[in-house]
Amino acid sequence: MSDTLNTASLTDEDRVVVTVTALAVLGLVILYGGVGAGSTSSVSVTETANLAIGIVAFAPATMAAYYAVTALTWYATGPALTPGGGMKKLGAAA
Amino acid sequence: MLSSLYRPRQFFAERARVSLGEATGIVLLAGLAQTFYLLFLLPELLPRFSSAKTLYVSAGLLIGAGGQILTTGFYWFFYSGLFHSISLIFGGEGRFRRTVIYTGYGFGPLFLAGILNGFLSLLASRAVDPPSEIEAVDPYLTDVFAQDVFVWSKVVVLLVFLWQTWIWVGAMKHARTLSLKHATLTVCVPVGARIVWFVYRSNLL
Repeated sequence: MSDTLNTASLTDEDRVVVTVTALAVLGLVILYGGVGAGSTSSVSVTETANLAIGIVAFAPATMAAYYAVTALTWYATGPALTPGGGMKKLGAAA
Repeated sequence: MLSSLYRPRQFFAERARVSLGEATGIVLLAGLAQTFYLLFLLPELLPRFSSAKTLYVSAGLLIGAGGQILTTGFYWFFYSGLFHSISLIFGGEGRFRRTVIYTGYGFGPLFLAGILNGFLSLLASRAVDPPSEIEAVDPYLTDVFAQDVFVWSKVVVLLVFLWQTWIWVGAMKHARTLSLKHATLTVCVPVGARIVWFVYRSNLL
């Protein structure tokens, strides 16, 4: 088994999971960096409430960012490389 | 189901079908346990306020508690996403739904940590005078959780991280059809980063 990621074997579901997870990691780093600045307590109600609000606000932002990345990828490379139905369109054309 | 806590690899090897219902139940219980401390702190706080203020303080604390339950749910999907993504490097196979279900079983130890945290908050609250003004509730909670006794809570959280790692390695081995080495790498990279971040923020060193 090779330890190298073969992107051609990824399913659409895999691509969505990877993209959304990467954006979530980025969001958490920003969120924790801001909310937790200067705090040394591991448990705080206000911090948790802020985090919950951030997550609720972050979910639509995540989806918007995902579609923005998809649209930019389509614009830059054409439909063949976009996540989703691009490969099917190419196959249908062939 | 309990054997997933102390014999995870055998549990996931023997259980051909784990269930989403069981995994959801475990995560929900773990989330609820994170709010267990309110059972001890509310009786300390509420008698100090008039009825109108009691409603306000209760609502604020319950919203915070709801946030903690939501946060536990968020981390369920967050870790699932990380494990699913990293395991792709090692040729992991299977749907994301399967990864989500197996990851849910790793939240069992959080339940015990939440219960322990609740009892520690009871001990800590005795060392801090309860406030009589709404504005002082948040500093009060900060003071309670800053008591020396909560050093034990941080130690327990670290042990829970290690316990979760052990369960998740067994879970990912079977959920994503990985070797033990690849399952260990899949789990240890993100959880290790979380542990380093936790130690850094907790001033444990």
